[in-house]
Amino acid sequence: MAELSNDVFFATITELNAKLKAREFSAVELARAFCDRLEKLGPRYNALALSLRERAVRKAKDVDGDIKRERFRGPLQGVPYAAKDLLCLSGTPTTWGAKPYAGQVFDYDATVLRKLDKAGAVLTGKLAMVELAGGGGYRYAAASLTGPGLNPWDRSCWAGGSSSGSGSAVAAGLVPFALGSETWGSILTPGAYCGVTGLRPTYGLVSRYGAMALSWTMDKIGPMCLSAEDCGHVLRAIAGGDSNDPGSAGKSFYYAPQFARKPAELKVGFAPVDIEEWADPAARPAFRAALEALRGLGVRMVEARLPDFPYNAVAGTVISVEGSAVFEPLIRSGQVDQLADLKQIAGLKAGLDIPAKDYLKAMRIRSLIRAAMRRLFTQVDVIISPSTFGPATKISVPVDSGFTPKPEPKDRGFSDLGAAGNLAGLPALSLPCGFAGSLPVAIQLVGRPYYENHLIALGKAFQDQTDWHRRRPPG
Amino acid sequence: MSQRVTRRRLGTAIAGSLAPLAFGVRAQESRSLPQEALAAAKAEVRKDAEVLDKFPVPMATEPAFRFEA
Repeated sequence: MAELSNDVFFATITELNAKLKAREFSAVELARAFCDRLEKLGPRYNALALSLRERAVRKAKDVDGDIKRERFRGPLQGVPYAAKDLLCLSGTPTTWGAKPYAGQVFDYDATVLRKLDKAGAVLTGKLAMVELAGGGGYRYAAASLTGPGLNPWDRSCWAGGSSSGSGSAVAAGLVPFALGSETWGSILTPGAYCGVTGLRPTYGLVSRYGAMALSWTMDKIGPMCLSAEDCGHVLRAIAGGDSNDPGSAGKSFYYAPQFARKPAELKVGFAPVDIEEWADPAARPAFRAALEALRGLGVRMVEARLPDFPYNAVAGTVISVEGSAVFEPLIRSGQVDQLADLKQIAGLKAGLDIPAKDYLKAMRIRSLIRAAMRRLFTQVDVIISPSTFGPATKISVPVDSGFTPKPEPKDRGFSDLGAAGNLAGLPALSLPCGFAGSLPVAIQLVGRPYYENHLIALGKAFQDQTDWHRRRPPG
Repeated sequence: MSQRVTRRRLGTAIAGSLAPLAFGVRAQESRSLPQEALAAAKAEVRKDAEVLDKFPVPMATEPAFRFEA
Protein backbone atom coordinates (compact mmCIF):
# COMPACT_ATOMS: atom_id res chain seq x y z
CA MET A 1 0.00 0.00 0.00
CA ALA A 2 1.00 3.63 -0.49
CA GLU A 3 2.92 4.87 2.53
CA LEU A 4 0.56 7.11 4.43
CA SER A 5 0.21 7.16 8.18
CA ASN A 6 -2.61 5.04 9.53
CA ASP A 7 -4.11 8.19 11.04
CA VAL A 8 -4.92 9.39 7.52
CA PHE A 9 -7.36 6.51 7.02
CA PHE A 10 -9.34 7.64 10.06
CA ALA A 11 -9.13 11.37 9.41
CA THR A 12 -12.26 13.44 8.93
CA ILE A 13 -13.17 15.21 5.72
CA THR A 14 -12.11 18.54 7.19
CA GLU A 15 -8.72 17.12 8.25
CA LEU A 16 -8.07 15.46 4.89
CA ASN A 17 -9.01 18.53 2.90
CA ALA A 18 -6.62 20.65 4.96
CA LYS A 19 -3.80 18.18 4.40
CA LEU A 20 -4.47 18.13 0.67
CA LYS A 21 -4.40 21.93 0.46
CA ALA A 22 -1.20 21.94 2.52
CA ARG A 23 0.23 19.46 -0.02
CA GLU A 24 1.10 16.90 2.67
CA PHE A 25 0.15 14.43 -0.02
CA SER A 26 -1.48 14.65 -3.40
CA ALA A 27 -5.02 13.66 -4.25
CA VAL A 28 -3.59 10.86 -6.40
CA GLU A 29 -1.53 9.49 -3.51
CA LEU A 30 -4.57 9.66 -1.26
CA ALA A 31 -6.84 7.99 -3.81
CA ARG A 32 -4.34 5.19 -4.44
CA ALA A 33 -3.87 4.60 -0.72
CA PHE A 34 -7.60 4.38 -0.06
CA CYS A 35 -8.15 2.19 -3.14
CA ASP A 36 -5.40 -0.15 -1.94
CA ARG A 37 -7.04 -0.35 1.46
CA LEU A 38 -10.56 -0.80 0.10
CA GLU A 39 -9.46 -3.56 -2.27
CA LYS A 40 -7.38 -5.35 0.35
CA LEU A 41 -9.63 -5.03 3.40
CA GLY A 42 -13.07 -4.54 1.85
CA PRO A 43 -13.51 -8.27 1.15
CA ARG A 44 -12.60 -8.98 4.78
CA TYR A 45 -15.94 -7.45 5.74
CA ASN A 46 -17.81 -8.38 2.51
CA ALA A 47 -18.02 -4.61 2.10
CA LEU A 48 -16.79 -4.14 -1.45
CA ALA A 49 -19.08 -4.58 -4.45
CA LEU A 50 -16.84 -2.97 -7.07
CA SER A 51 -13.50 -1.16 -7.03
CA LEU A 52 -13.31 1.95 -9.22
CA ARG A 53 -9.56 2.49 -8.93
CA GLU A 54 -8.86 3.69 -12.46
CA ARG A 55 -11.70 6.16 -12.41
CA ALA A 56 -10.65 7.33 -8.95
CA VAL A 57 -7.05 7.99 -9.98
CA ARG A 58 -8.20 9.89 -13.10
CA LYS A 59 -10.45 12.08 -10.99
CA ALA A 60 -7.71 12.58 -8.41
CA LYS A 61 -5.34 13.81 -11.14
CA ASP A 62 -7.93 16.43 -12.12
CA VAL A 63 -8.23 17.43 -8.48
CA ASP A 64 -4.46 17.81 -8.14
CA GLY A 65 -4.49 20.06 -11.19
CA ASP A 66 -7.22 22.20 -9.67
CA ILE A 67 -5.49 22.45 -6.30
CA LYS A 68 -2.23 23.41 -8.00
CA ARG A 69 -4.08 26.22 -9.79
CA GLU A 70 -5.77 27.12 -6.47
CA ARG A 71 -9.20 26.30 -7.87
CA PHE A 72 -10.73 25.25 -4.59
CA ARG A 73 -14.14 23.62 -4.69
CA GLY A 74 -14.92 23.09 -1.05
CA PRO A 75 -14.25 20.63 1.76
CA LEU A 76 -14.90 17.48 -0.28
CA GLN A 77 -12.34 18.26 -2.95
CA GLY A 78 -9.91 15.36 -3.23
CA VAL A 79 -11.62 13.34 -0.51
CA PRO A 80 -12.20 9.68 -1.43
CA TYR A 81 -15.61 8.09 -0.84
CA ALA A 82 -17.65 5.09 -1.88
CA ALA A 83 -21.33 4.60 -2.64
CA LYS A 84 -23.92 1.99 -1.77
CA ASP A 85 -24.43 -0.19 -4.82
CA LEU A 86 -27.96 0.97 -5.42
CA LEU A 87 -26.67 4.19 -6.96
CA CYS A 88 -26.02 3.91 -10.67
CA LEU A 89 -22.78 4.94 -12.30
CA SER A 90 -22.69 5.04 -16.07
CA GLY A 91 -21.04 2.06 -17.74
CA THR A 92 -20.37 0.11 -14.56
CA PRO A 93 -22.35 -2.71 -12.89
CA THR A 94 -24.98 -1.63 -10.36
CA THR A 95 -26.11 -4.85 -8.75
CA TRP A 96 -28.56 -3.68 -6.05
CA GLY A 97 -26.91 -6.42 -3.97
CA ALA A 98 -29.03 -9.00 -5.75
CA LYS A 99 -28.20 -11.93 -8.02
CA PRO A 100 -30.86 -11.19 -10.68
CA TYR A 101 -29.25 -7.77 -11.25
CA ALA A 102 -25.61 -8.84 -11.04
CA GLY A 103 -24.85 -7.72 -14.59
CA GLN A 104 -27.04 -4.64 -14.66
CA VAL A 105 -25.45 -1.55 -16.22
CA PHE A 106 -26.98 1.89 -16.58
CA ASP A 107 -25.96 4.59 -19.02
CA TYR A 108 -26.26 7.53 -16.67
CA ASP A 109 -25.04 8.63 -13.25
CA ALA A 110 -27.17 9.04 -10.16
CA THR A 111 -27.66 12.71 -9.31
CA VAL A 112 -25.87 12.39 -5.97
CA LEU A 113 -22.78 10.91 -7.66
CA ARG A 114 -22.80 13.69 -10.24
CA LYS A 115 -23.01 16.29 -7.49
CA LEU A 116 -20.19 14.77 -5.48
CA ASP A 117 -18.05 14.63 -8.62
CA LYS A 118 -18.70 18.34 -9.16
CA ALA A 119 -17.63 18.97 -5.57
CA GLY A 120 -14.32 17.25 -6.31
CA ALA A 121 -14.91 14.13 -4.22
CA VAL A 122 -13.19 10.99 -5.52
CA LEU A 123 -15.39 7.91 -5.95
CA THR A 124 -13.29 4.82 -5.18
CA GLY A 125 -15.88 2.07 -5.27
CA LYS A 126 -19.35 0.70 -4.83
CA LEU A 127 -20.27 -0.86 -1.53
CA ALA A 128 -22.16 -4.00 -0.64
CA MET A 129 -25.75 -3.96 0.50
CA VAL A 130 -28.58 -6.25 1.50
CA GLU A 131 -30.29 -7.44 -1.66
CA LEU A 132 -32.87 -4.95 -2.93
CA ALA A 133 -32.32 -2.99 0.28
CA GLY A 134 -34.23 -5.67 2.15
CA GLY A 135 -37.62 -4.47 1.03
CA GLY A 136 -39.39 -7.81 1.16
CA GLY A 137 -38.10 -8.36 4.68
CA TYR A 138 -35.13 -10.64 5.32
CA ARG A 139 -34.18 -13.09 8.01
CA TYR A 140 -30.44 -13.48 7.85
CA ALA A 141 -27.41 -11.23 7.34
CA ALA A 142 -26.44 -13.37 4.33
CA ALA A 143 -29.29 -11.79 2.33
CA SER A 144 -26.83 -10.30 -0.14
CA LEU A 145 -24.99 -11.05 -3.38
CA THR A 146 -21.73 -10.42 -1.51
CA GLY A 147 -22.54 -12.47 1.56
CA PRO A 148 -23.20 -11.22 5.10
CA GLY A 149 -21.87 -7.76 5.88
CA LEU A 150 -19.28 -8.31 8.62
CA ASN A 151 -18.72 -5.88 11.44
CA PRO A 152 -15.16 -4.45 11.75
CA TRP A 153 -15.54 -4.50 15.55
CA ASP A 154 -16.24 -8.24 15.55
CA ARG A 155 -16.40 -10.16 12.31
CA SER A 156 -18.68 -12.78 13.83
CA CYS A 157 -21.27 -9.98 14.04
CA TRP A 158 -23.37 -8.24 11.45
CA ALA A 159 -22.49 -4.81 10.08
CA GLY A 160 -26.21 -3.98 9.98
CA GLY A 161 -28.31 -3.31 6.94
CA SER A 162 -29.22 -2.58 4.39
CA SER A 163 -26.24 -0.18 3.94
CA SER A 164 -23.89 -2.86 5.33
CA GLY A 165 -20.86 -2.05 3.21
CA SER A 166 -21.23 1.70 3.79
CA GLY A 167 -21.19 1.22 7.57
CA SER A 168 -18.30 -1.20 7.70
CA ALA A 169 -16.16 0.64 5.12
CA VAL A 170 -16.27 3.92 7.05
CA ALA A 171 -15.73 2.18 10.41
CA ALA A 172 -12.69 0.28 9.12
CA GLY A 173 -11.10 3.37 7.57
CA LEU A 174 -11.55 2.13 3.99
CA VAL A 175 -13.20 5.41 2.96
CA PRO A 176 -13.56 8.72 4.83
CA PHE A 177 -17.25 8.75 4.01
CA ALA A 178 -19.85 6.71 2.18
CA LEU A 179 -23.34 7.12 0.81
CA GLY A 180 -26.04 4.89 2.19
CA SER A 181 -29.80 4.91 1.95
CA GLU A 182 -32.67 4.46 4.35
CA THR A 183 -36.25 3.38 3.82
CA TRP A 184 -36.68 2.06 7.36
CA GLY A 185 -33.45 1.83 9.37
CA SER A 186 -30.87 1.23 6.66
CA ILE A 187 -28.57 4.13 7.56
CA LEU A 188 -29.16 4.25 11.30
CA THR A 189 -28.75 0.51 11.93
CA PRO A 190 -25.36 0.01 10.22
CA GLY A 191 -24.29 3.40 11.56
CA ALA A 192 -25.04 2.25 15.11
CA TYR A 193 -23.68 -1.27 14.70
CA CYS A 194 -20.41 -0.07 13.12
CA GLY A 195 -19.86 2.97 15.35
CA VAL A 196 -20.08 5.59 12.60
CA THR A 197 -22.11 8.79 12.32
CA GLY A 198 -25.03 8.46 9.92
CA LEU A 199 -27.48 11.07 8.70
CA ARG A 200 -30.90 10.29 7.28
CA PRO A 201 -32.04 13.51 5.60
CA THR A 202 -35.57 14.83 5.36
CA TYR A 203 -37.50 12.98 2.65
CA GLY A 204 -37.14 14.85 -0.63
CA LEU A 205 -34.06 16.87 0.35
CA VAL A 206 -31.69 14.62 -1.58
CA SER A 207 -32.50 13.45 -5.10
CA ARG A 208 -33.32 9.78 -5.55
CA TYR A 209 -32.67 9.92 -9.29
CA GLY A 210 -30.43 7.02 -10.22
CA ALA A 211 -31.05 5.16 -6.96
CA MET A 212 -32.84 1.84 -6.93
CA ALA A 213 -36.39 2.47 -5.80
CA LEU A 214 -37.70 0.37 -2.98
CA SER A 215 -40.44 2.62 -1.60
CA TRP A 216 -41.13 5.76 -3.62
CA THR A 217 -42.55 7.57 -0.63
CA MET A 218 -39.96 6.50 1.94
CA ASP A 219 -36.52 6.19 0.29
CA LYS A 220 -33.82 8.64 1.40
CA ILE A 221 -30.11 8.81 0.48
CA GLY A 222 -27.70 10.04 3.12
CA PRO A 223 -24.08 10.19 4.28
CA MET A 224 -22.25 7.89 6.68
CA CYS A 225 -19.14 9.57 8.05
CA LEU A 226 -16.72 9.77 10.93
CA SER A 227 -18.36 12.87 12.41
CA ALA A 228 -21.53 14.94 12.48
CA GLU A 229 -19.65 17.83 10.90
CA ASP A 230 -18.60 15.64 8.00
CA CYS A 231 -22.25 14.69 7.48
CA GLY A 232 -22.97 18.41 7.13
CA HIS A 233 -20.33 18.81 4.44
CA VAL A 234 -21.58 15.83 2.46
CA LEU A 235 -25.23 16.83 2.77
CA ARG A 236 -24.35 20.29 1.47
CA ALA A 237 -22.99 18.67 -1.69
CA ILE A 238 -25.74 16.13 -2.34
CA ALA A 239 -28.87 18.03 -1.30
CA GLY A 240 -30.98 20.14 -3.62
CA GLY A 241 -33.92 20.08 -5.97
CA ASP A 242 -33.97 17.76 -8.98
CA SER A 243 -36.69 17.75 -11.63
CA ASN A 244 -35.76 14.14 -12.40
CA ASP A 245 -37.00 13.06 -8.96
CA PRO A 246 -40.79 13.33 -8.55
CA GLY A 247 -40.34 13.27 -4.77
CA SER A 248 -37.84 16.13 -4.72
CA ALA A 249 -38.73 18.85 -2.26
CA GLY A 250 -36.94 21.46 -4.36
CA LYS A 251 -35.05 22.68 -1.31
CA SER A 252 -31.32 23.17 -0.83
CA PHE A 253 -29.18 22.68 2.25
CA TYR A 254 -26.37 24.95 3.32
CA TYR A 255 -24.27 23.68 6.19
CA ALA A 256 -24.40 26.71 8.48
CA PRO A 257 -23.31 25.78 11.99
CA GLN A 258 -22.90 29.45 12.87
CA PHE A 259 -26.67 29.94 12.56
CA ALA A 260 -27.73 26.76 14.32
CA ARG A 261 -29.49 27.01 17.64
CA LYS A 262 -27.23 26.64 20.64
CA PRO A 263 -27.79 23.54 22.81
CA ALA A 264 -29.17 25.68 25.65
CA GLU A 265 -31.93 26.88 23.31
CA LEU A 266 -33.12 23.36 22.55
CA LYS A 267 -35.81 21.30 24.22
CA VAL A 268 -34.99 17.62 23.82
CA GLY A 269 -37.69 15.01 24.29
CA PHE A 270 -36.79 11.62 25.67
CA ALA A 271 -38.58 8.61 27.16
CA PRO A 272 -36.89 6.98 30.17
CA VAL A 273 -38.56 3.67 29.30
CA ASP A 274 -36.49 3.54 26.09
CA ILE A 275 -33.33 3.08 28.10
CA GLU A 276 -34.60 1.50 31.29
CA GLU A 277 -36.79 -1.19 29.72
CA TRP A 278 -36.53 -1.36 25.91
CA ALA A 279 -32.72 -1.21 25.68
CA ASP A 280 -30.39 -4.18 26.06
CA PRO A 281 -29.13 -4.07 29.67
CA ALA A 282 -25.53 -4.17 28.40
CA ALA A 283 -26.12 -0.95 26.47
CA ARG A 284 -27.99 1.00 29.16
CA PRO A 285 -24.92 2.59 30.82
CA ALA A 286 -23.80 4.03 27.48
CA PHE A 287 -27.26 5.44 26.74
CA ARG A 288 -27.56 6.93 30.22
CA ALA A 289 -24.13 8.54 29.86
CA ALA A 290 -25.14 10.00 26.49
CA LEU A 291 -28.19 11.66 28.02
CA GLU A 292 -26.00 13.08 30.79
CA ALA A 293 -23.55 14.40 28.23
CA LEU A 294 -26.40 16.20 26.47
CA ARG A 295 -27.64 17.60 29.76
CA GLY A 296 -24.09 18.85 30.32
CA LEU A 297 -24.35 20.83 27.08
CA GLY A 298 -27.24 22.76 28.53
CA VAL A 299 -30.18 21.30 26.61
CA ARG A 300 -33.51 21.16 28.39
CA MET A 301 -34.53 17.52 28.65
CA VAL A 302 -38.26 16.87 28.84
CA GLU A 303 -40.07 13.58 29.04
CA ALA A 304 -42.12 12.81 25.98
CA ARG A 305 -43.39 9.88 23.98
CA LEU A 306 -44.74 9.10 20.55
CA PRO A 307 -48.47 9.52 19.98
CA ASP A 308 -50.33 6.22 19.66
CA PHE A 309 -50.45 4.88 16.14
CA PRO A 310 -49.89 1.44 14.57
CA TYR A 311 -46.55 2.59 13.14
CA ASN A 312 -45.11 -0.81 12.28
CA ALA A 313 -48.25 -2.01 10.49
CA VAL A 314 -48.41 1.23 8.48
CA ALA A 315 -44.72 1.21 7.54
CA GLY A 316 -44.79 -2.51 6.79
CA THR A 317 -47.81 -2.16 4.50
CA VAL A 318 -46.48 0.89 2.64
CA ILE A 319 -43.07 -0.65 2.00
CA SER A 320 -44.54 -4.05 1.06
CA VAL A 321 -46.94 -2.60 -1.46
CA GLU A 322 -44.55 -0.13 -3.01
CA GLY A 323 -41.58 -2.52 -3.03
CA SER A 324 -43.55 -5.36 -4.57
CA ALA A 325 -44.94 -2.97 -7.17
CA VAL A 326 -41.43 -1.78 -8.06
CA PHE A 327 -40.24 -5.36 -8.43
CA GLU A 328 -43.37 -6.80 -10.01
CA PRO A 329 -41.52 -7.83 -13.20
CA LEU A 330 -38.92 -9.61 -11.07
CA ILE A 331 -41.63 -11.44 -9.16
CA ARG A 332 -43.86 -12.34 -12.11
CA SER A 333 -40.90 -13.64 -14.15
CA GLY A 334 -39.86 -15.95 -11.33
CA GLN A 335 -36.39 -14.39 -11.15
CA VAL A 336 -37.23 -13.37 -7.59
CA ASP A 337 -36.46 -16.98 -6.65
CA GLN A 338 -32.78 -16.24 -7.29
CA LEU A 339 -32.58 -13.97 -4.27
CA ALA A 340 -30.52 -15.20 -1.34
CA ASP A 341 -33.07 -14.89 1.46
CA LEU A 342 -36.25 -16.97 1.53
CA LYS A 343 -38.09 -14.48 3.71
CA GLN A 344 -37.27 -11.73 1.21
CA ILE A 345 -38.61 -13.82 -1.68
CA ALA A 346 -41.76 -14.66 0.25
CA GLY A 347 -42.28 -11.07 1.35
CA LEU A 348 -42.02 -9.69 -2.18
CA LYS A 349 -44.49 -12.29 -3.48
CA ALA A 350 -46.94 -11.70 -0.64
CA GLY A 351 -46.73 -7.93 -1.16
CA LEU A 352 -48.27 -8.21 -4.61
CA ASP A 353 -51.50 -9.51 -3.11
CA ILE A 354 -52.07 -6.67 -0.67
CA PRO A 355 -55.36 -5.02 -1.67
CA ALA A 356 -55.44 -1.34 -2.55
CA LYS A 357 -57.80 -0.63 0.34
CA ASP A 358 -55.08 -1.67 2.82
CA TYR A 359 -52.45 0.52 1.17
CA LEU A 360 -54.84 3.48 1.12
CA LYS A 361 -55.77 2.92 4.75
CA ALA A 362 -52.07 2.86 5.65
CA MET A 363 -51.46 6.06 3.71
CA ARG A 364 -54.42 7.78 5.39
CA ILE A 365 -53.13 6.82 8.83
CA ARG A 366 -49.78 8.11 7.62
CA SER A 367 -51.35 11.55 7.09
CA LEU A 368 -52.50 11.46 10.70
CA ILE A 369 -49.00 10.40 11.83
CA ARG A 370 -47.43 13.27 9.91
CA ALA A 371 -49.80 15.76 11.55
CA ALA A 372 -49.24 14.27 15.01
CA MET A 373 -45.47 14.47 14.64
CA ARG A 374 -45.78 18.13 13.64
CA ARG A 375 -47.72 18.74 16.84
CA LEU A 376 -45.10 16.84 18.87
CA PHE A 377 -42.40 19.10 17.45
CA THR A 378 -44.23 22.14 18.77
CA GLN A 379 -43.54 20.68 22.23
CA VAL A 380 -39.92 19.64 21.64
CA ASP A 381 -37.19 20.60 19.18
CA VAL A 382 -35.36 17.30 19.06
CA ILE A 383 -36.19 13.75 20.08
CA ILE A 384 -33.46 11.50 21.44
CA SER A 385 -33.61 7.73 21.63
CA PRO A 386 -31.25 4.80 21.02
CA SER A 387 -30.59 4.31 17.30
CA THR A 388 -30.90 0.59 17.98
CA PHE A 389 -31.74 -0.89 21.36
CA GLY A 390 -28.69 -3.11 21.42
CA PRO A 391 -25.42 -3.80 19.64
CA ALA A 392 -24.87 -5.82 16.49
CA THR A 393 -26.22 -9.37 16.37
CA LYS A 394 -24.24 -12.45 15.39
CA ILE A 395 -24.35 -13.23 11.66
CA SER A 396 -25.38 -16.81 12.35
CA VAL A 397 -28.71 -15.85 13.94
CA PRO A 398 -31.75 -14.07 12.49
CA VAL A 399 -31.20 -10.32 12.20
CA ASP A 400 -34.07 -9.61 14.59
CA SER A 401 -32.54 -11.74 17.36
CA GLY A 402 -31.36 -8.79 19.38
CA PHE A 403 -32.57 -8.13 22.92
CA THR A 404 -36.35 -7.97 23.24
CA PRO A 405 -37.75 -7.18 26.67
CA LYS A 406 -40.16 -9.82 27.95
CA PRO A 407 -42.88 -8.98 28.62
CA GLU A 408 -42.97 -5.99 26.29
CA PRO A 409 -43.25 -2.74 28.24
CA LYS A 410 -46.74 -1.24 28.13
CA ASP A 411 -45.19 2.18 27.63
CA ARG A 412 -43.81 2.20 24.11
CA GLY A 413 -41.89 5.45 24.66
CA PHE A 414 -40.03 6.15 21.43
CA SER A 415 -39.53 2.47 20.58
CA ASP A 416 -41.38 2.99 17.28
CA LEU A 417 -39.37 6.08 16.35
CA GLY A 418 -37.75 4.30 13.39
CA ALA A 419 -41.11 3.65 11.76
CA ALA A 420 -42.60 6.98 12.85
CA GLY A 421 -39.63 9.05 11.69
CA ASN A 422 -39.46 7.37 8.31
CA LEU A 423 -43.22 7.55 7.73
CA ALA A 424 -43.18 11.26 8.50
CA GLY A 425 -40.04 11.86 6.38
CA LEU A 426 -38.10 13.26 9.33
CA PRO A 427 -34.32 13.73 9.50
CA ALA A 428 -32.27 11.72 11.98
CA LEU A 429 -28.63 11.77 13.04
CA SER A 430 -27.09 8.66 14.59
CA LEU A 431 -24.14 9.31 16.92
CA PRO A 432 -21.86 6.63 18.40
CA CYS A 433 -22.19 6.96 22.18
CA GLY A 434 -20.30 4.08 23.75
CA PHE A 435 -20.10 0.32 23.86
CA ALA A 436 -22.07 -2.69 25.00
CA GLY A 437 -19.22 -5.05 25.71
CA SER A 438 -16.91 -4.65 22.74
CA LEU A 439 -19.58 -3.52 20.27
CA PRO A 440 -20.59 0.09 19.57
CA VAL A 441 -24.03 1.53 20.32
CA ALA A 442 -25.51 4.83 19.24
CA ILE A 443 -28.19 7.39 19.96
CA GLN A 444 -30.35 9.10 17.37
CA LEU A 445 -31.42 12.72 17.28
CA VAL A 446 -34.60 13.28 15.28
CA GLY A 447 -35.95 16.66 14.25
CA ARG A 448 -38.78 18.24 12.36
CA PRO A 449 -38.42 18.42 8.55
CA TYR A 450 -35.35 20.37 7.34
CA TYR A 451 -33.91 20.59 10.86
CA GLU A 452 -30.59 19.07 9.75
CA ASN A 453 -28.42 22.07 10.64
CA HIS A 454 -29.60 22.01 14.24
CA LEU A 455 -29.26 18.23 14.55
CA ILE A 456 -25.73 18.38 13.15
CA ALA A 457 -24.80 21.28 15.44
CA LEU A 458 -26.06 19.40 18.50
CA GLY A 459 -24.30 16.26 17.26
CA LYS A 460 -21.07 18.19 16.83
CA ALA A 461 -21.38 19.66 20.31
CA PHE A 462 -21.87 16.12 21.66
CA GLN A 463 -18.85 14.88 19.71
CA ASP A 464 -16.73 17.81 20.91
CA GLN A 465 -17.32 16.50 24.45
CA THR A 466 -16.95 12.79 23.75
CA ASP A 467 -14.64 10.68 21.61
CA TRP A 468 -16.78 7.66 20.75
CA HIS A 469 -16.77 8.70 17.09
CA ARG A 470 -12.95 8.62 17.01
CA ARG A 471 -12.62 5.07 18.32
CA ARG A 472 -11.21 2.55 15.85
CA PRO A 473 -12.04 -1.12 15.53
CA PRO A 474 -9.26 -3.55 16.49
CA GLY A 475 -6.80 -4.55 13.78
CA MET B 1 -28.63 9.82 -21.45
CA SER B 2 -30.58 10.17 -24.69
CA GLN B 3 -34.10 10.25 -23.27
CA ARG B 4 -35.78 10.73 -19.98
CA VAL B 5 -36.63 7.35 -18.46
CA THR B 6 -38.28 6.99 -15.09
CA ARG B 7 -36.59 4.69 -12.64
CA ARG B 8 -39.62 2.44 -12.64
CA ARG B 9 -39.59 2.04 -16.44
CA LEU B 10 -35.85 1.46 -16.40
CA GLY B 11 -36.19 -1.20 -13.74
CA THR B 12 -38.95 -2.85 -15.74
CA ALA B 13 -36.92 -2.76 -18.96
CA ILE B 14 -33.83 -4.19 -17.34
CA ALA B 15 -35.69 -6.90 -15.45
CA GLY B 16 -37.40 -7.83 -18.71
CA SER B 17 -34.12 -7.92 -20.59
CA LEU B 18 -32.71 -10.32 -18.02
CA ALA B 19 -35.64 -12.74 -18.44
CA PRO B 20 -34.08 -14.81 -21.28
CA LEU B 21 -30.85 -15.13 -19.32
CA ALA B 22 -32.73 -15.95 -16.16
CA PHE B 23 -34.81 -18.55 -17.95
CA GLY B 24 -31.69 -20.54 -18.82
CA VAL B 25 -30.23 -20.05 -15.36
CA ARG B 26 -33.44 -20.73 -13.47
CA ALA B 27 -33.54 -24.43 -14.11
CA GLN B 28 -30.20 -24.83 -12.38
CA GLU B 29 -30.13 -22.19 -9.70
CA SER B 30 -33.58 -21.23 -8.49
CA ARG B 31 -35.23 -23.23 -5.81
CA SER B 32 -38.85 -23.50 -4.91
CA LEU B 33 -39.93 -21.36 -2.04
CA PRO B 34 -41.08 -23.51 0.86
CA GLN B 35 -44.80 -23.10 1.32
CA GLU B 36 -44.25 -22.30 4.99
CA ALA B 37 -42.19 -19.22 4.07
CA LEU B 38 -44.89 -17.87 1.77
CA ALA B 39 -47.60 -18.70 4.29
CA ALA B 40 -45.65 -16.87 6.99
CA ALA B 41 -45.26 -13.81 4.77
CA LYS B 42 -48.96 -13.77 3.96
CA ALA B 43 -49.80 -14.19 7.63
CA GLU B 44 -47.67 -11.13 8.42
CA VAL B 45 -49.50 -9.14 5.75
CA ARG B 46 -52.85 -10.26 7.14
CA LYS B 47 -51.80 -9.35 10.67
CA ASP B 48 -50.86 -5.83 9.53
CA ALA B 49 -54.16 -5.53 7.68
CA GLU B 50 -56.10 -6.50 10.81
CA VAL B 51 -54.25 -3.85 12.79
CA LEU B 52 -55.00 -1.22 10.16
CA ASP B 53 -58.66 -2.27 9.96
CA LYS B 54 -59.11 -1.63 13.65
CA PHE B 55 -57.66 1.87 13.52
CA PRO B 56 -60.32 4.54 13.03
CA VAL B 57 -59.59 7.25 10.50
CA PRO B 58 -61.72 10.39 10.17
CA MET B 59 -63.64 10.32 6.89
CA ALA B 60 -62.01 13.52 5.66
CA THR B 61 -58.47 12.13 5.99
CA GLU B 62 -56.76 11.84 2.63
CA PRO B 63 -53.82 9.57 1.82
CA ALA B 64 -50.33 10.99 2.31
CA PHE B 65 -49.70 11.58 -1.38
CA ARG B 66 -51.20 14.00 -3.83
CA PHE B 67 -51.61 14.26 -7.56
CA GLU B 68 -50.63 17.35 -9.51
CA ALA B 69 -52.05 18.00 -12.95
